[in-house]
Amino acid sequence: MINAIRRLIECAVGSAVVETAIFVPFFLLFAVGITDLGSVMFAGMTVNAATQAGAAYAIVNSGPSGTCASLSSSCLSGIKTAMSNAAANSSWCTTATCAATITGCADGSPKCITVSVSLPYSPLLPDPAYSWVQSLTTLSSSITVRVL
Amino acid sequence: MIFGIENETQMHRFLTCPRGAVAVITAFALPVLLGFASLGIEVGHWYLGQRIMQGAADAAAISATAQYIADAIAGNSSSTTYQTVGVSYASLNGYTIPTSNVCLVSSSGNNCSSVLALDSRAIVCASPPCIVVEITQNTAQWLTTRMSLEPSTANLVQSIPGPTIGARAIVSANSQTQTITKEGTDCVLALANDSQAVLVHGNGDLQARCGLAVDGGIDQNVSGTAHGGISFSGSHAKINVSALVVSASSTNCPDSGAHCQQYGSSAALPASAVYTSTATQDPYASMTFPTPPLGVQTGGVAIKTAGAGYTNGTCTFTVNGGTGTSVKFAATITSGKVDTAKPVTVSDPGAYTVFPTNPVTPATSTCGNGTTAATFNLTEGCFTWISGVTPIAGRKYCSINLNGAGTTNFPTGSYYIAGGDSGCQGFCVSSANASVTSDSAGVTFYLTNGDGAKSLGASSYGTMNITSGAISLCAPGTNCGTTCVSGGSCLLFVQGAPAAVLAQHPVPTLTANPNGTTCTACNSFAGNGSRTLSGLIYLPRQAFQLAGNSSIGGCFGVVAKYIDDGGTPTFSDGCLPGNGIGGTTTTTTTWSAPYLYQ
Repeated sequence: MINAIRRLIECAVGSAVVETAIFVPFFLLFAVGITDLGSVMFAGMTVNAATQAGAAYAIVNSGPSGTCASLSSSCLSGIKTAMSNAAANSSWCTTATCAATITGCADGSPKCITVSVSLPYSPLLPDPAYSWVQSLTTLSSSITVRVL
Repeated sequence: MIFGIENETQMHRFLTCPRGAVAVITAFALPVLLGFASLGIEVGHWYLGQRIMQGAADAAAISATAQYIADAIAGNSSSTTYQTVGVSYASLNGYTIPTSNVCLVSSSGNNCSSVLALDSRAIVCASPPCIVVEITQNTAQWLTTRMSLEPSTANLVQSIPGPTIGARAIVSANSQTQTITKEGTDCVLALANDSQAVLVHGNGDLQARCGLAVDGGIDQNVSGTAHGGISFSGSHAKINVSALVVSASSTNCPDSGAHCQQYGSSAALPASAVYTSTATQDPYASMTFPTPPLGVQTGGVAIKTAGAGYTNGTCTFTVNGGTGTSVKFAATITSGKVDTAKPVTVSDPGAYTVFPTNPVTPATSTCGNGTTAATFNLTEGCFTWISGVTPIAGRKYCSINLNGAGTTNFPTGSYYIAGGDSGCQGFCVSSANASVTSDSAGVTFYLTNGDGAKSLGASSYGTMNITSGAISLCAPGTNCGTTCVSGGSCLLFVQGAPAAVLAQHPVPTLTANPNGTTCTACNSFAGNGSRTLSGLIYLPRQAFQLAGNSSIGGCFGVVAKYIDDGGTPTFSDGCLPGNGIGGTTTTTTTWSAPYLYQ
């Protein structure tokens, strides 16, 4: 019996299969993790670009006769269109949560535009694989600009 | 002894044995692979971070510009609050920056040395002022970068310095300065600081399709109490105007409609059309009265010798002698001689700085030189223009007394009327059959001091009095129409500053004689007749008295110290500069929306 075990350990036949079997999970974990990080960065950039495009629309149209003089429905739909264009996806704001507020500023100035986007994201690996650093289930971005 | 190797043979076997080589190779290769993978992820993260940072810089710069514009509008363009606001909004959007990272590029310079020290890219600001916000961050402080640099803590691998990523936003705050001229709406302005600055009495009804204004500050009482106002004497006295502006509190207008009515209606002038405690600037206060032509005129011509050999008919002579513009006069030639029985008519009184010595001989004539020259005696004096004599612009007259029938057309130019004479104190139209016109390019009559013989004397001052006739005069810039084009003076009659100043209303004893008071130092429209006047009458020291019931066509306006109305004149809407008196010019600076450059 001991000899049989000894032969098995010393036998080199099929060792590559064994090594591969041990290595592959780590390799996959590594590869999928990198893919996840890459795609979360792409999604994050999209969220950021959409937020900036929405804020730019609101700022440009915030004049007295602009659609975003106050937060009207036409202003909000213009912001969402700008966001969708930035994300190159016309229905982007149905997946993501696109929001804007036009109110007085925290510092007392009369008009601040806050545009925020929140996008649910499903990483390839379960979130706990990343959440020890940063949870990836939701990507969000927000910009506050004072226009008056 | 390493790994139980005791001699060279064992060492040789160890080195040549292929077993476990993959593990060894992997052990060496894996850190390199992981390192490169880490670097790739890290660089990707830098780009993401830079994008987020740029968004924050843009937001901070726009917010700081909003503050800068607010400060500039408040007249505090040197305020540095924009820096605090830039820092605050950078913080709100996730980045902490020092105050010096928010700077201003103005047309005179910038305070961006700190920004340029952090980021050497040139700051592009095509149209200052621009607000610049710079956000920089050393990536070595980031979690992932720190992890990727971790080996350096054990000094196993030389650490790679994390790059500093930065974002700069430049926002331009363009301002535009606009001059907005608000057109005046008034065509009648009384300048006296007197509650009777405008006095309407008897059956007087001053009708104006424009505003009536009373300024209480003209007679050097600007720091005192303004009394300027309108008074009514008699239950029938009233005004029909579109608006009323008075410098004092108005006690007589608005009322229930007994005296103050809207133009073209018997409805009461509403309170919204009455502006109290509002001074109206004299639009011509800074006008310089032109210097009347120097020299003397020829008051009269007498025939001394008749001469001989002239062609029969009416002959115009120009004489030799003197310095300046020569006199021209017409005489009748009968039998080759100047007919001493016929009057000699001066057609141009000339303007001499040295008067010719009598007797004078003709230099030219329209009927030949004669065989024997006629001689004339000229009288230095004041010349009166009468109906039927073609006026010459740029000359000075004693008076213009259009008291006869016939058409008198005034060619374009300026006419100076010095003090008047016994027949007329200035400009008079007193014949119902007189027709007075002017060229459409416009005329201006300047009423000045009397001078020379035959005038009423140096203390006399020309006035204008129109009692009848058909009058159609146009000031320069009106083109005889209903507007005053830009650049035109639009002045028809101007009385110079040396004129006698009326200290009180010319009709002080109203209860005694409310209608028929003779007005000295008065300029007047009385009687009836066709009157079309395109232009303004400017009498800053005297009164303008309105009687009769003729409407005044054209775009007529009056600025006078006192206005006295006992008649029912009608003013059209004024064609005065700025379309009326009381206009204002305001300069405003408007700011464009913040414009993101970079």
